[in-house]
Amino acid sequence: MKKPNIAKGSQIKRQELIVGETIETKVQRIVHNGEPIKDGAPEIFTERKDGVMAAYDVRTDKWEIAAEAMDIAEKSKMAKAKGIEKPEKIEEKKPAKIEEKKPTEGQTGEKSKA
Amino acid sequence: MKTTIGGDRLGAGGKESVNLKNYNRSTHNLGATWRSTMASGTLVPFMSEVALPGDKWKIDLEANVLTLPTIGPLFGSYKVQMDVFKIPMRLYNAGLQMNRLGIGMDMSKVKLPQVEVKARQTNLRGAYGPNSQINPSSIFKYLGISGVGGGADTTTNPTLTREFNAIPYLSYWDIYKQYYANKAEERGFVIHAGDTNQTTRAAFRIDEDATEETNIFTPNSTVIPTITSEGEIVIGFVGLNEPTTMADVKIKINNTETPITDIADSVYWNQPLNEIVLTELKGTIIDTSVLLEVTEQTVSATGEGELKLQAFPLENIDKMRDKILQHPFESGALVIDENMETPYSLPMQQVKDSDDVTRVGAYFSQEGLGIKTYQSDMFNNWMNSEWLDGTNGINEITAVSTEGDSFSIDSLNIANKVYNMLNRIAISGGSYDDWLAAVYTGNRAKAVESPQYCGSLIKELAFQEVVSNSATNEEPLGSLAGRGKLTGKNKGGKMTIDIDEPSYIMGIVSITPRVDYSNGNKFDMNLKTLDDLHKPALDGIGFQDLITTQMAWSDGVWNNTTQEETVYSAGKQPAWMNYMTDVNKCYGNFASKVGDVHNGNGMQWMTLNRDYTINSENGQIQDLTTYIDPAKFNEIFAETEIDAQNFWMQIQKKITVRRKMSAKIIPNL
Repeated sequence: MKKPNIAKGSQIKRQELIVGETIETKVQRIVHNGEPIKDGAPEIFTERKDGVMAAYDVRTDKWEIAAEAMDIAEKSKMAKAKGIEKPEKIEEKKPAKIEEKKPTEGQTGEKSKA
Repeated sequence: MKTTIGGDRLGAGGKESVNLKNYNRSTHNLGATWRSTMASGTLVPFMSEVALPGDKWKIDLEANVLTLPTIGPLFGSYKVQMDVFKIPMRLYNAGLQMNRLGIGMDMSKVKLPQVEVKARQTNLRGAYGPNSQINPSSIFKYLGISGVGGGADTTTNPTLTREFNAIPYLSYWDIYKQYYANKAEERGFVIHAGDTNQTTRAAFRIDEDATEETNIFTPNSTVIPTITSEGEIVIGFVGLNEPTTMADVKIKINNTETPITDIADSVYWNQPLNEIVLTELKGTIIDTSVLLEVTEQTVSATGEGELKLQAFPLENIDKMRDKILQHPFESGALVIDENMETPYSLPMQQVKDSDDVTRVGAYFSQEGLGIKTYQSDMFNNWMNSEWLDGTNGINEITAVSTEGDSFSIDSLNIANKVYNMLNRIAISGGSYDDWLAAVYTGNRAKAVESPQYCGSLIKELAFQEVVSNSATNEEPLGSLAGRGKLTGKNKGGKMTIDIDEPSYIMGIVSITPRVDYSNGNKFDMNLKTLDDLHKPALDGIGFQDLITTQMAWSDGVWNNTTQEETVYSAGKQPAWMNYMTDVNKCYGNFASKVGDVHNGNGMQWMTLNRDYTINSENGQIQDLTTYIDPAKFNEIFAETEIDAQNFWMQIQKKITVRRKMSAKIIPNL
């Protein structure tokens, strides 16, 4: 094989340096120091039959979802135009069960443990 | 067609309706094949067509992609994507908003916005050629402009200017903001030739008697009691090149960043001293006690630079729409010129080429093409930390006051509800429509206010190895090379678009590398006790920092004494993300560069490794971004520079349009 030419470093620059905190450290702060949870999220549990749902997968490709949806709409239009048959109904997945979390502001470590 | 005399109104009923003659339609073949070379990560328009009211477009896309031969087999693939959008021309004219009265009586009053394209006359006489004014891979060429004009007199103004319809150009950037940009970064990137960067080094405010100088450069900024319109502000720069767009240079007035062009009527570049001088001051800085401050900032500047990726604030695209909608439509067309905000102004700006000949941006390769983001994954998807933790961020707004060592349950409840609501808005993107969807969980029925997505064709480009059948001095028999070829994947491609007002139909093609990672420390390697594991009871935690040492181990500061690491964050992401997803990874020689001091046999170039650019002094990631740098994924090809276009793209557009237009008998050839 030939020797490759190595690309130069990127011209794109980082915006700012933000000191971070791992989730483990954050949990320690909340559980052991009794500090309040300042952010919260609803608890969402999905049905086994639904597999990995697009809404909860960071690797979901929004373009593929959009293209699939437009494809179905297009096929439906074509079928209608030709009068062949009613377009197949798209089986909609039921949304996952969402359990709204109780107020978390001021929650202490003890409560979190419970 | 039924219409009501005097227009539709309440109570008109059907009594005053008349039948107007309806025009019939005929079918026209607007299909064509589009071929171009491309680079990965760029957004290239492959279709920009006028559509008329009553049209029905049936589009069927098919594509073929090949690559220049690679110098070895590539273990990785690219996503190839062609997206089609509908753009009503109404979006780009203030006269067409709010169903304005009387406008229909004289539609010639509705002027289309124009873009003032420039070319140097030095590109003309004696040097005529198909691409002597506009580069065949620049944004203007893809949108339909091949040259400004020929035959002009070279003895007068050396620069030719000509106005062209700007709607495709404006809508390209609207599509960019709406569909391809990462709003969390609040910036976009565009390929631009020739500019260099310029950094501020000093700033002074000078009194009207020209004697007193006050340093206003951070950190020595100071309160200035009074400044009059006769005063001056001088901003010094490190290099000798003039900033390309003066409005990009900002001055903080009471901590609010303001473009210098907004506070002075006269802004000029003082070449011997490498400084911008602001005179004829105006606006909020006059006659009030203000804190003036100039921070260190880097802006683009004219000069003999190379092709580069230039950042611009995404809000500039909104500002341009503001400008369009505020432009009095009776006063003529809005003209987009070199003084507008970036990225709009860039292809018109003057740049010197390597022979020291002054050209304009559009003369150079891929000028003005937007850059897209990587595919979403755990390391390329984060929220802006400021939206959550910053001043006026969600956490600050919804914090419950515990003044007096107590708080009421009511205030806690309401804070929680507001928190949930704001959270949903931030996650969804933060625009008005996002707000509606998140707060009222519904979509509004609306007139189109931004380009509309109509469909895509999605394919996958993989690489085949090619075995050398003939030996040369450089390569023995049986050497491996490679070439890109589409796999069988094929999603979408067929779409029908109904047009009900004058519009454009634009298609944008892009090639996105599916990246691997190899330089990070895995999150679980930092676990110390079983208590560090995820526990369902703590699912209620909303967000965690995206720790950058997972992307590159050196982007933290290890304290060997305390045995603790200071880590940095790219932004926020949903909590416990590491338990919910993974990324592709490379090992062995695939995780090592050629010439790596510890492993000279690096073969990272055979993969699409997300090779972060690391600051050799402090180990920090320099290019922490979700935007693709095309040059990073060229190592598999012979040409690795940013101007390399190693992909050969061919798109077959089968298009039939049913249009309210008479067909014509065409003479036989």
